[in-house]
Amino acid sequence: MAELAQGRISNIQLVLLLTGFLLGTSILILPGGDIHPDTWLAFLLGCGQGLILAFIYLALARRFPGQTFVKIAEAVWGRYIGKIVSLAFLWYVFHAGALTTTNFLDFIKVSILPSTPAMLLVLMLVGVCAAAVWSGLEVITRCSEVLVPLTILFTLFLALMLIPDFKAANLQPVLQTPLPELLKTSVRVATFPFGETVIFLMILPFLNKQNKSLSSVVIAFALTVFILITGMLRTLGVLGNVAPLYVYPLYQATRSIDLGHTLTRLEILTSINFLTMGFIKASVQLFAFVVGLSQFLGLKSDRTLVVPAWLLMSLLGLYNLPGVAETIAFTHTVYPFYALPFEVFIPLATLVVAWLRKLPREGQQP
Amino acid sequence: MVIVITVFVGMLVCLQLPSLLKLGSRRDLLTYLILMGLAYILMVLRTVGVHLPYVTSAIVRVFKAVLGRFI
Repeated sequence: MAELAQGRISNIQLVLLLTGFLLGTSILILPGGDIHPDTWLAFLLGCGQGLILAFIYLALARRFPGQTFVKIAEAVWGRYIGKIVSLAFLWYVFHAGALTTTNFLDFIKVSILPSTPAMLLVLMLVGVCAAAVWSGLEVITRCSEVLVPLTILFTLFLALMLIPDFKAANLQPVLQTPLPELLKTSVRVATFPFGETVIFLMILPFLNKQNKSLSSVVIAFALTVFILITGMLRTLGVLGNVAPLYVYPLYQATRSIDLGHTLTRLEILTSINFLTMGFIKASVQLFAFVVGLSQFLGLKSDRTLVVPAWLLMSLLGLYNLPGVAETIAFTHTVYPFYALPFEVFIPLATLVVAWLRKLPREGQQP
Repeated sequence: MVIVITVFVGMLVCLQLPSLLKLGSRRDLLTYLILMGLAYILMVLRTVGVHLPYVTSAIVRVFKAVLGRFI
């Protein structure tokens, strides 16, 4: 049992942790890359595709209860191929964590602290995540218990505050997007953020009731898609056709709130939402990487790797892409192809091979 | 700035080293020192202005070369 995963997480904690993870960066950078009146439909379709992927991950986790993906891969693929598969998976987790860090950094550099040195910012941001990971999975889940309901509350509050600026005409014409375009956007939504649930193959073993995990995942997906659609609709209703021109349209939309010159500058709530959900996401990714790598290397204590992983993830966050535009373009264009092997092929192939080899065998510890 | 980074990384190592020695696992100690060394070198290189290639930009180039039609 991993040292950092002392204590078990309940199903309601899984709902909140997964919701926080999925909202992570997508609460600011809308998934799919397009904002038009039919984007909500793409979100729903993407969520459906993401659920199919989640079924694969859950089936794998239930077949090997109490085992992380690193152990599962070794049991299914054998010692050497299993190590290669695990290494590829760990690279994906590490890189996804670094991308979250880059998104954090870009947002703060562009919107809040443009003159602060990037290395200082990134070390402090990921340092908070590292502190949470050092304290263990239970602390991360307890943080999500506080932060995710607050985020939902803030999102609904901001949607209410934007009603005076909301123009229903901006949401038209409906169902005019060609089907191939809609499907393309939905696949992007399925890979980011829903497919990233694959990282939970490192968390699911620490769930206290595995048999109820499916309902938790469905609720978390529904909550996420509800928050995303609310955010998308209010942004489009306020900004209209110019929404896609902004780097952070959700943030931009909330800047226009001005109720009697008293309630203004409420974009800070969007910033808080992004930073708190980004913290949950980066913490989960850092936790998964640390636990996975220590199992891969056969270390005695998984706490050994928390500090080095913090520094290296921060550094890769700095060396990911040269600017905000490149990061967002990567998320919407290359990432769906890049993530496909890790989110679909590897888990699916592992499940199929486990099924064909009838693993785990009776009385055999996987 | 290099001195600040050296002190920072040195402090981190000094804080964790006793617990690693107490753990008595040579593999843990070696992994920790190698990864910290790598992080230190990368931090110093960035500070002194050595330009390292962007990792994800390289991935983008590879994917665009292979799947250019679809991206």
